[in-house]
Amino acid sequence: MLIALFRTILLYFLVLVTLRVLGKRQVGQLQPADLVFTILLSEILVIPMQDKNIPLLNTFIPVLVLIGLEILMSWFSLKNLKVRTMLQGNSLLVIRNGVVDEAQLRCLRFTMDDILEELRKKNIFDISTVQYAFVETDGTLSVLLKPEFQPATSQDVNAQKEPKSLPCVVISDGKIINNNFKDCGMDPKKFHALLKKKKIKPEDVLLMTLDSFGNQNIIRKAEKQ
Amino acid sequence: MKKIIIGICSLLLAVLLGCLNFWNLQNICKKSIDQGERILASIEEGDFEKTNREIYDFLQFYDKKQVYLGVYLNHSEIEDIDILFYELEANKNAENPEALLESTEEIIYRLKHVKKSEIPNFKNIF
Repeated sequence: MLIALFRTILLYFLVLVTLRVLGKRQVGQLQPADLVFTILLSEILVIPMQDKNIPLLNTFIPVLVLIGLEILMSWFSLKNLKVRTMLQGNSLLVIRNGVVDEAQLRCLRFTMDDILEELRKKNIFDISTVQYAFVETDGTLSVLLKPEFQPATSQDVNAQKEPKSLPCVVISDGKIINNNFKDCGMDPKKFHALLKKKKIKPEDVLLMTLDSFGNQNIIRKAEKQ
Repeated sequence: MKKIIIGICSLLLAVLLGCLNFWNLQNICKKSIDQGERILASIEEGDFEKTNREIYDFLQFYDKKQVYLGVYLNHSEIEDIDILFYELEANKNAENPEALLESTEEIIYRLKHVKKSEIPNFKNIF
């Protein structure tokens, strides 16, 4: 059992270093530490499922170790910038003021095809409209368009917009979500009075949202419509 | 803060379970080996009554501890040890001192190997 414990710790750091060396390209949507955890966990759990020779205790202990390591690593990277940089790396600027930084692309082992693909996924088909683009630590691309190509906002056209409030879910699948009343600034008594006034039973409602201005949206369950 | 506590507790639990199970396994193996060596000594003395008593105690001890060994060790290892104990019982019933000696030595060897292979040293980890 102690051997399984030591092996798990060694393998965890080995996979983490390997993924850092491989770089952002292999990581996809997850941070390296998250990917390590996912890969190791799935492998540890799958093997004893298929091989009954392996005692289950040989699985429990590595899983506990992985959970502990994952949480502690997340905490350390939260508290310490150096640890965060070591575990996750940094976001890299690949397009600066409309100019592609070839050195950064080579460092990331990204081709122009990769960049164009990521831009297309964001509905950007013309690279000349991009002012800044970052490759994030999880491998995704974040883009800021040039001002002349950015969508207009209400501020740009001096449009008067009514203030908006956060719609909160107050009934979900027939059940009242009491925790959300504070977020939408609604008094529970007023809420029940509203339901009574509109002759609505919570169990007949699929979804009801409410905001602090009293705007409501009710979707009833299909059989009750 | 809650997550840190969970993380630390998970690690501590893993270490505790690992150490506890390691200690328990080493203990079972040591007692079994000692019992086996007592059997060997009684065979060499030629005291068959004592030998039969010791073998009976050994089999009873193994019956109790078999469950724990099954939790700690691979099934294939446990199966091999089970077979050796069945052979020991068969040889005891057949009253064959040479075969008894051989079976007992085989069991002692196996248990020493199990004991040694569970020690977390450089060789076993890598």
